[in-house]
Amino acid sequence: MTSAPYQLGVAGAARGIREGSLSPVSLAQALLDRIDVLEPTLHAWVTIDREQVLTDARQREDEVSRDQVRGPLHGIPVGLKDIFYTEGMLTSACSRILADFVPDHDAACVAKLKEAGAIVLGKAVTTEFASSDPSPSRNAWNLAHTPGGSSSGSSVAVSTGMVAAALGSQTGGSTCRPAAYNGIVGLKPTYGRISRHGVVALSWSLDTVGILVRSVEDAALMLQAMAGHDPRDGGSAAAPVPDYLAQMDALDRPPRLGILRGFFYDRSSEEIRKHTDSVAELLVAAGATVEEIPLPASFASAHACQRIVSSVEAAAVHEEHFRTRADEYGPRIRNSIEMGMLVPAVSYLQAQRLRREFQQDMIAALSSVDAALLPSAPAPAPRDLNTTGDAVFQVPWTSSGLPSVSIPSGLSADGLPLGVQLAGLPLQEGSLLGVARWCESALDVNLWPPEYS
Amino acid sequence: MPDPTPYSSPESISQSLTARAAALWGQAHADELQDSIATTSRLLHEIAREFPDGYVEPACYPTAIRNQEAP
Repeated sequence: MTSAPYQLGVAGAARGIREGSLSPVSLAQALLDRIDVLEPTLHAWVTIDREQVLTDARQREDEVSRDQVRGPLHGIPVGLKDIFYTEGMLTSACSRILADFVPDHDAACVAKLKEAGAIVLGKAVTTEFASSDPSPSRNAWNLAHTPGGSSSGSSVAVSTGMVAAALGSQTGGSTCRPAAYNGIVGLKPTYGRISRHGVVALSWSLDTVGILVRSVEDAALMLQAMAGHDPRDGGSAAAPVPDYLAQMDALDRPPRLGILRGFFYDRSSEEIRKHTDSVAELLVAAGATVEEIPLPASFASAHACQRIVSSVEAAAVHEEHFRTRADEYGPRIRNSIEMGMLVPAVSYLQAQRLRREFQQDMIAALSSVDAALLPSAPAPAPRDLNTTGDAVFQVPWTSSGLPSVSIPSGLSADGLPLGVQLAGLPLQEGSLLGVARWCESALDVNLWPPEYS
Repeated sequence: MPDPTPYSSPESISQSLTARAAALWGQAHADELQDSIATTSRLLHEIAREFPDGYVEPACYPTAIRNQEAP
């Protein structure tokens, strides 16, 4: 059966465009039509410039007809969380503070996506400043449940086929958690792997550009387009960019996985514990080796360090605006900024020292396996629109800077998506994605919300 | 007499943070922030207790987390 354009992932659509079987204009129009139908219910988008989208699509189509393919994302529409600068297009971070902010340049990663041929479909809803005040976006699996955050609009849009790929970010758990809550793939690369030049900051030593897609291969394609050193970002990694698809293909055997129970099982619901064990059994049946690995002692303070660092840096980022416009901030980010202003400098620096120690310990802990395996969240998306859920299972990877990926792994008894998370060594995204694709294939779980497939 | 170990408990940290909040924003707002201050104090205590003798490997100095190299 032929897939509808909205059901095509990045790889499938890009192949169709290159081979001439899919028109970039038809694809863009199909997604705009789908947004017209779904947006009134799901509230995933802030800004969509339809004329510009179709103009860009016509240009890409014309280029294909002249054999001028820009790159591997030629003609592929992408969504951008509303913290990514877009030249001439509102970038509000869904805040009152930046309500009228129209950048005069694109974020570095947005420019790279365009160079690879991608089309900016629109700006997706974020929680205010990518923090924890819930956004208006709704979870397509059940409108009474949170879609998670902070990359809420990006996740909802990908889960419902309004777009095949969207950018998010992760400072605590804002990419892999909403990915799990919405039944899609989320990749948080190594800290520094993708430039944050032109991305509205929340906490500069934690902020990481994230990728939301429907398959592991699509995550690799998006990462390939954006990864690389950028001297304009002080946290940018100087390491060369490998061929991620080739590294994925290099995994020619079942992976060795280190399952993390301990803290993660203590914090999980019974359903999540059983589900994760059943996933591990399926992977073993498919040939993987799964052994339990212990968490280092430094794990004990990992969450505290992330919270303190995040608050202090948010306070520093917002100091100027906050001095005169505190009342214009949402209650949770305001609270976080205020707490950051109270933290002694010595405590902030001690937290950073502990993060470094934790990073080294986690690298040692993962050195004997191809990837760590753990639940993506303690429970499915909560039935509460006044929360974005619990980031506690993402924080260790954000705080240590290690890459992690969440893949869908099944449904809960209530019919909500479940996911498992895999984590690997710094700058080894190719290997990690190879493991994730192996697991994706073994689990064979492809989720579409029932009312939106 | 001042507490010789001011970070010996979340409660003592909370007193310090509350005093600073009152100085910054007034006592009324400091009072409103008590739940958050209690949480932050607990987090700070978790961090402080990792430094019983103040020593951390020099490799962990906070040039931190940036420009990570592949292992």
